[in-house]
Amino acid sequence: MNASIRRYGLGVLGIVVALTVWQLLVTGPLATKPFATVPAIGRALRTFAGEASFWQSLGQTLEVALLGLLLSVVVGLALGVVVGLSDTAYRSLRLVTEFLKPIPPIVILPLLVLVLGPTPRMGVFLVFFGGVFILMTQTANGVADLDPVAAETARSYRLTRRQRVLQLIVPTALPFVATGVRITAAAALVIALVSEIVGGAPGLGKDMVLAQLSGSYDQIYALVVVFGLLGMLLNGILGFAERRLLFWHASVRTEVSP
Amino acid sequence: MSLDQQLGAAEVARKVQPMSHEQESGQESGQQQSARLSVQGVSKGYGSGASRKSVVEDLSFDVRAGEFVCIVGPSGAGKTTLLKCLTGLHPVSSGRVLVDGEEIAGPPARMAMVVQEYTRSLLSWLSVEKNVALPLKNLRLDKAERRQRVEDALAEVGLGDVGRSYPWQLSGGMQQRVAIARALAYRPEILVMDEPFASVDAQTRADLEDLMLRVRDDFGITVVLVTHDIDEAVYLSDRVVVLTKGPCTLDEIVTIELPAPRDQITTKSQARFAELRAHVFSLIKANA
Amino acid sequence: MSGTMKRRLVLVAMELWLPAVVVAGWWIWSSHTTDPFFPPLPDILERFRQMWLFSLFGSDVLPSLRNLAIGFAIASVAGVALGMLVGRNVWLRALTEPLTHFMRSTPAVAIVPIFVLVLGFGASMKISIIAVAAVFPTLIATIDGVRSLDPALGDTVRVYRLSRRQRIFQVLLPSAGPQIFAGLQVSLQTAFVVMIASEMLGSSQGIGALTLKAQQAFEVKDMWAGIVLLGVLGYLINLLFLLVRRRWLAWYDGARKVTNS
Repeated sequence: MNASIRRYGLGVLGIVVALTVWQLLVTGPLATKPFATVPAIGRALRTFAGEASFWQSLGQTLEVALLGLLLSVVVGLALGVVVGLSDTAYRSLRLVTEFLKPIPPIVILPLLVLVLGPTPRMGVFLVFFGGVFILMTQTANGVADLDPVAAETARSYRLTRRQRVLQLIVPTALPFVATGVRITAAAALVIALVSEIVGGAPGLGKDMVLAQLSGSYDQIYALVVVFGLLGMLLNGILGFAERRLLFWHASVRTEVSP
Repeated sequence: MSLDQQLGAAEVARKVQPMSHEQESGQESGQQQSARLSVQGVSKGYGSGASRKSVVEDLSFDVRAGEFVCIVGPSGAGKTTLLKCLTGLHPVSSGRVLVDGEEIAGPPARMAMVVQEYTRSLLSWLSVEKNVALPLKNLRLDKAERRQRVEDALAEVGLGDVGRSYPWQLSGGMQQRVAIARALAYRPEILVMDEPFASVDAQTRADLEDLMLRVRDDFGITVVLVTHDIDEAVYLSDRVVVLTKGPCTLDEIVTIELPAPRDQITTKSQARFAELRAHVFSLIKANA
Repeated sequence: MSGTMKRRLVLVAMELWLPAVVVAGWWIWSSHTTDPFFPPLPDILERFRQMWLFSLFGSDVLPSLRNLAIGFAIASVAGVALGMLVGRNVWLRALTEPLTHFMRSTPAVAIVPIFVLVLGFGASMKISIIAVAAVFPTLIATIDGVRSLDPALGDTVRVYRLSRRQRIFQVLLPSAGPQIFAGLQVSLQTAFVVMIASEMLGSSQGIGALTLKAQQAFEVKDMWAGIVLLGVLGYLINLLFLLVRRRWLAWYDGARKVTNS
């Protein structure tokens, strides 16, 4: 109990020190540069909270991230199951996956902006592209990880296909899929922001670019804080969900590397 | 109180010869039997207040130079904790641990340790040679002498030709030999071993036991070995320290007067061996 | 043809048929379609050769790669050094944990505009933001690696009274190696993305900048040439990393194979 209070206290102290240093630098030697003071950022945040347009933009960004994530999960899972169960499918898709997987979505952003314009749909597709290969690989590895002894046992007990899927394949693959979803969900937010900041799609990212163009420094920094908090919140929720879902599989937290 | 305990107590009462020669203590023990390692009223516990857990309670015994002492006791007695106190890894809650008459504060010089889990104490990224050489780097030896010691140590444990291999390429028994070679090359005065042969098969265990006896004879090292294997304890030791159940204290020190050199077949078939073994076994059973 | 040879050929064919079909399909379809966004593949390849080999190589490709290399180098060294410092010290860890967590949760692309504001459009801006964005995965992975030092190893190190220098460089650092490399791989990917983003948002020089400008000017073939180059670079850089890792962590891969068998 003592130790965790101390850790908590030190953490808060760390934040306070960082904010103080920032404030001192921004009001002192960096006063002429485009920075914003801590109180100014706080004010901008409060203003945001009261503006409907802020929440609309936030909703837009989250919507794009979520839709893209859903799509990549559905397609990634389907493909992953096929690849995991069929050696032919695995071999056929291997080279294509190996080449496409390491390509960050930002590389195809110009093409998507060209074809789909700076729209939410472009963002959804970008998020999809960023996540589908990860989920496919993770699912495939999860399905393929099936213990051959367990499979034999199932066959000897003459389980129906449905039973086999539900009681063997799904639990084995679940930890891998969960890890894949966690990685992809975290990336979904980032990619959605990329589609807005670099691609010009509507959302909080676009708002930040507009703030940059109009020189509203306070808003820019406030938005960065919002993004960071969003990211932390997302990581926290995902971690919690994964732990709850996989409480029975505490040992498996491996991210299968390519 | 057994004769041994009386002797031990007498040794404690005697002023032991200090390590630094500049100090003229005026109280010279002058005995060959000054304790190399002396445990005096040691207690060790964790936590405080109501949640305090005592693991070792008021334990005292001595180990003479060149002696081979095994520590046995029922499971959970706290043998590993005791070893951590002896090696200075954990501070004692009360009492003292003395090496050559000086109280230790942290791991003393000239002490080496071999643990049960050899894979976890050897460095997987270094070859066997480099593993054995690692502790020698701060002993201020020149390169040639270091290399010689490594060679000698590996030869002593029978691993002369695997110097370039990596530990994980070797079998379990061989890996433990590497750990022993590392201790040997260090030329310690005291070698502490924590159930070192528990994770190897019976045949390898017999070989390693004989290796330790040979090492002690060749190098004159004082060995303190914790084991749960009573046969092993009786076979190897000059004296066996029997602990009570946790929180442990001294139950009895059994002197093993079996002839040297010990041999796996002849020694173990002697009547005296069986008697001593039964005696130690009954002590532990009474405690469990 | 022997049985095994036939089987091997079948396996190779299984791996190659889909990529071949995809490339051939792209080639044929793009050569016949009137869709302006998908020019014929041969034209793209021709433009690729014209631009990158070697007319724009020195002016755009090399600077991009240089910024990436320097930024990543700074991030790696700083990440490992700071990670070792923080990882060994409970107080420092508690102090810096919420901050680090916040900073690593913030998408790197979101702070590019700020860096452009403060540092302008030059190489120093790009290198700085690449370094700042890429340091966190390695930092966190190093802290992780340091904290997970096997206690048995820790005991051994203390009983043999190894010097501090030995403890850090010969024991702690190698033992954390696998985790550090995992962090470095993510850092490298982050650095690559941020390199592109920093060019697209704040520059007229660099592969990313050229590709985006081509898109905005409807120079579709040039844009495609840029995309293909970035894709190939991404693949090659990752490959290079894996090769380096294989050499440095040969001991780990070997040891793990033994435990898993």
